Order: sequence, then C-alpha cells, then structure tokens
Amino acid sequence: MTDDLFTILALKVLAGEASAEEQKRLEDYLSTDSDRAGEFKELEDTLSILQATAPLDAALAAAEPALPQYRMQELRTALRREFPSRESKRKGPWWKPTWLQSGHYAAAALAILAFALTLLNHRAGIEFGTYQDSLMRDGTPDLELRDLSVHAFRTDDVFQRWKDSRFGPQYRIWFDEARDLVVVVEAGGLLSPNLTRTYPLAEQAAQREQFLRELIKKLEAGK
Amino acid sequence: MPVVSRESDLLRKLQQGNESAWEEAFSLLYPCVFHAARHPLAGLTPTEAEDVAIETLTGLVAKIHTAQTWENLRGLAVTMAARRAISEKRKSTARKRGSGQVQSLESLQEESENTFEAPEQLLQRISPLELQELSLILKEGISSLDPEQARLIQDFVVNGLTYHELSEKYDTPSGTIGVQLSRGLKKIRQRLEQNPFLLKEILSYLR
Repeated sequence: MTDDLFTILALKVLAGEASAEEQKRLEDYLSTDSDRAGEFKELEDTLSILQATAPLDAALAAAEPALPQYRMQELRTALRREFPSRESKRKGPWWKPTWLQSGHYAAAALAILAFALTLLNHRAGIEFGTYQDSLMRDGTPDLELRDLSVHAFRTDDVFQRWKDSRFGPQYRIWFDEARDLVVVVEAGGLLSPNLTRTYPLAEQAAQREQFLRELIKKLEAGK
Repeated sequence: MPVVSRESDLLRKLQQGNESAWEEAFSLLYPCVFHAARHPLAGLTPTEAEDVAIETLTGLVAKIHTAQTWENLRGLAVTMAARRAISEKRKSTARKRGSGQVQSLESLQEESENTFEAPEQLLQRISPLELQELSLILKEGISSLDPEQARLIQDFVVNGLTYHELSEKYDTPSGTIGVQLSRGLKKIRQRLEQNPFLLKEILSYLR
C-alpha cells in the first residue's frame, strides 16, 4: 500500500466515513505491518487529543454568551451556602442584637425607643422582596405588582437583613427560586419569633402572580 | 491596575466570599463554561448547556480555595463543565438504552462508561493544569501549520465537517484533504512529543 493510499484510508477510518470494506482492508494491512500500525495509532491518539481539548481551548477564550440574569439567584444561593453572611454567624440569642451583647447601653436605649415607635405603625402591611435583576428569560419583569409594596435588592446581604429583620411590615413574601417555594414570614411579637410559612412556587409568571394575589387577599383577611 | 495584579486581587476577594467579586467572576466565567458544556462530544442543546454551566459555577464556589491563579480557576471551571456535560450525555444514553429494560440505571451508566470513545475518556480525566499546558502546546503546534492546513484541522476536528464537506469547502479532491489532514496531525504530534511527560500522562487517559 502506498503512503498516500494508507493516509487517505487511515483518515477515512478515523473520521468514521470508511465503508465496512475499507475498514477491513485497513485492518488487514495493519495486522501485517507493525510500523504502519504504530503510525495509525499515533494519528488516532493525536486526533483524540485534539477532539477533546481543542473545543476546551476555544472555551477558555470565550467571551459570549452573557450570563442570563435570571439564573443569578441560584448562584447567589450557592455563594451564601459557602460563605454564610455575618448575620447568620452571629452568636447569642436571636432577640439580643450584637450591639446589645457588647454593652453599648446608650445605643441600646435609643434603639429600644426607636423600636417602640416603630411598633406603633409597622404592623399592618405586606411587602414583596425580589432581586433587581430577577427577570424572565425574555428580559421582562416576572410579575406586575403595582398595588404591592415591592422591595428590590441588588445584593444578598441587603436581602438577608430585610428578611431577618424584626421590624417592618406584618408579612414579608419572596420567591425562593432555589427551592421552588413561596416564602411568607409573619413578623413575631416582642417575645415571639417570626413565623415562616412556605408554599409551592408555580413555574409560570402568570400562575405565580395569580397565587400571589390570592395569598395577599387571604393575609389581608387575616386567614 | 495591571491585568495580573487585577486578577490576583479578584481571586483573593473570591476566596474571601466578596459578593460583588463573585458576581464579576460569574459573568466572566459563564461564557467559558457554557462553551465547554457545548463540547461537540457531549452534544447538549443550548438549554442543557446553560443548566450545566450554572451547575458548574455553583460547584465552583466550593472549590475556590483550590485555585492558585485566575487562569487556574478558569481552567478548573472549563474542565468541570466539560465533565458534567459528558456525564449528562452518559446519563441520557443510559436512560435511552435502559427504557423497557430491568437492568439498573447505575449499571447501564457503568457499562456505557466502558463503551465511550477515547476523547471522552480524556475529557473526563484531564486536570485544569494539564489542560492549560496542553492548550499552549496545541496553539504552538497549530501555529506551525500552513494557515489553510490549520483551518482544515479546525473544520475537521472542532466543526465536525465530513471529508465530502471539506472537499467542497476547500475545492480540493478528498484524497488531498486526507493527506493534508494527516500531515497536519503529524506536525502537531511532533510538537506534543517535545513534552514526553505530559504526552505520556495524556495518552494514559486515552486507554
């Protein structure tokens, strides 16, 4: 077999484009010529290395597509799991803020006054928390909530403070996309903790909006 | 700020769990992991590749302390994405083969691992450092080829064009295409052989 014929046949087999007859012809030839068999093996290995790594090499330099913003929340959840926020690491009982534990009594007195004033007017109301970049795949906001107080957050720590706060509205609601849940936190009293309830999160925006409206009606009716 | 110093600053902030640094890193790495997830050998759809890319970035957070440099982190992300993509392909192949059978999905997956081709075995085992090193060598190897030969290799290996398609595109008889491809592969092989230790390691992954 000539050099060129061997090369053409070998590449055809490696490309998976050889007929059964051509494949058999090459196999028979290689079984009689160990040098050619070695050459074929080298071509095959080099091709395998290129097939596996050339696309990865291109991937290392890729600059597109952009990260879909609606997936950002999953990444933030992973980040929060790996690097818990300072609030969740805080030692001491839940009702005793850090500054009170550290003995800043003047500050404590001021804060208690603020707390008492806040208690007078914070109990009514429902707030919905979301991320500023929580968008649907087509880039539109996922809900129309004109008649609801919406808090949009840019970062996790602000969201954490909002959801863990013991001040504010009676109900705080948000969608936990990572666990597919609607979470409702009812503010606790002076000596009682916040109460958390969860509901399954619908997949479609329209169903989510419908659920939210019904939920708000129930909460307002005190059910 | 120089690029290297900016990248090492970013890596340090990532290791400290700085949120805005992570958001920047996610944005920078997403295109890389998405492309790795769309590796031709895995054959995932864009939607499947998006899911694999997000899972990869999620998994990367826990591995941040293993990265010494930004380049290292990018290599890690790309290899992780390619592995996940191949695993997805294996799972889907096992599911298809398993429909209507009593055999367990795990044993079908195990069986399919043995039947997968050499390049896929390599993808499953190559380390981020090996990928970085191999990538440099392949760049040198490909840049030593004639431009048309390099394009031919690119079309054959990465874009998956058939002999017939190559022959039409380059207006060349298919026999000549075979000879050109073979010469190109041999030159790349020669460049790989200049790093015998790495080549031996990589070849062991193909067996």
